[in-house]
Amino acid sequence: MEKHKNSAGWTEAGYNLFAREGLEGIQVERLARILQLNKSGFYHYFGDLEGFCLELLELHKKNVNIFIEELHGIKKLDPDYLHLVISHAKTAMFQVQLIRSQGNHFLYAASEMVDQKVQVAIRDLWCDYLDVPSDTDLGMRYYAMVQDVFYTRISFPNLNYTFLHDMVTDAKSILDDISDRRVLETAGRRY
Amino acid sequence: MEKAKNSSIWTEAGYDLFAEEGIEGIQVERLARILNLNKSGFYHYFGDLDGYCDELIRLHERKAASYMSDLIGIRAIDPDYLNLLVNYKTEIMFHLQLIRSKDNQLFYKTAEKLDQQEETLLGDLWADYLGIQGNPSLAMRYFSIVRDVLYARLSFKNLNYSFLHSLIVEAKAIMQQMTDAKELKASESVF
Repeated sequence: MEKHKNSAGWTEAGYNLFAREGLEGIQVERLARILQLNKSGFYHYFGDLEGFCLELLELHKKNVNIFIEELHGIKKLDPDYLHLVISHAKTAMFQVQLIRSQGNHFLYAASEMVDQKVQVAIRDLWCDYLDVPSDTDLGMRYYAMVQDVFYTRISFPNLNYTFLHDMVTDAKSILDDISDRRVLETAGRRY
Repeated sequence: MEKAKNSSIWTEAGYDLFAEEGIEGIQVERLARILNLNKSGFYHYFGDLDGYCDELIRLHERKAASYMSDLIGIRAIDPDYLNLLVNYKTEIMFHLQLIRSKDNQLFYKTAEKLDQQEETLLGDLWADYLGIQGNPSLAMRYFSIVRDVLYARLSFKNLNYSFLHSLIVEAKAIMQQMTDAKELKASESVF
């Protein structure tokens, strides 16, 4: 019990650092300084940096599961889901850092698993938001693109409602505007 | 003249490192080791790391100018534009690192400025590619989503023609199928 509690201090601190700076932010010296603990504890609990990263991924999975559980209780993408993302900012930013770790196959594979889980859970909300049927993959293929806009543009300072709202509104209105234009063109040809 | 030549050795080497690893990859010790030069040269030419980063940005702007002038000569998105991106692999990856450096105003603003320049040159080609000729501004709104998908997923390893090709083919297909579905709905509601 005591062991678990103490190792959790390291993983919590590591999780926060990783969410801010990615893998480069994780240095044993630095963690020890933040926690005011001896480095030997780190090696005792985790063996090495790789063992520590495994624990960080475990913690991430737990956090994602909590996120998805809360997601199931949600009715609308905007504003409910957007607020949910904001209230899980740390988990979201950890995920962003995983996505950026293309050079590390292990981390990147973990990010893909999380993406898939979230995509299953959000399917109905998203398709409802776009007003497309949720029984085909089309809406979710577009979701994957918008998710990448999120991954490219998000940071701790801009992870707020205005930013997320603008992002999804824009994604939706582009499709509406393009199809409006096509409807007009078709009508123009008809008459 | 001699000064410019010697300092450019430092910036060229740093440019490649930055493209691979971002700002975290830039350490004076490491650069000096790679170049087999004394660190004092670095401080002589650039003063400090900030001064050095200013020079890296200037170098990137020069390379971007050459990219833009090549861009003016191309006729189609696929394959011309995609091949251009592959030819400018290091520059594109450097640019991607700037996009990821949201904490650094100079980096992020420079990237945004260059992205805007590119947009003004690409509008007609992209509108043609999407099949919404004559409406480059609408087309470029969709382009900014597709570009963020690229920025989220690109790495030195996958920056090749087949990856870029499958990515934009998918993006185009999604847009067309989504707007087909909406168009159908709209025409149904008319009659």
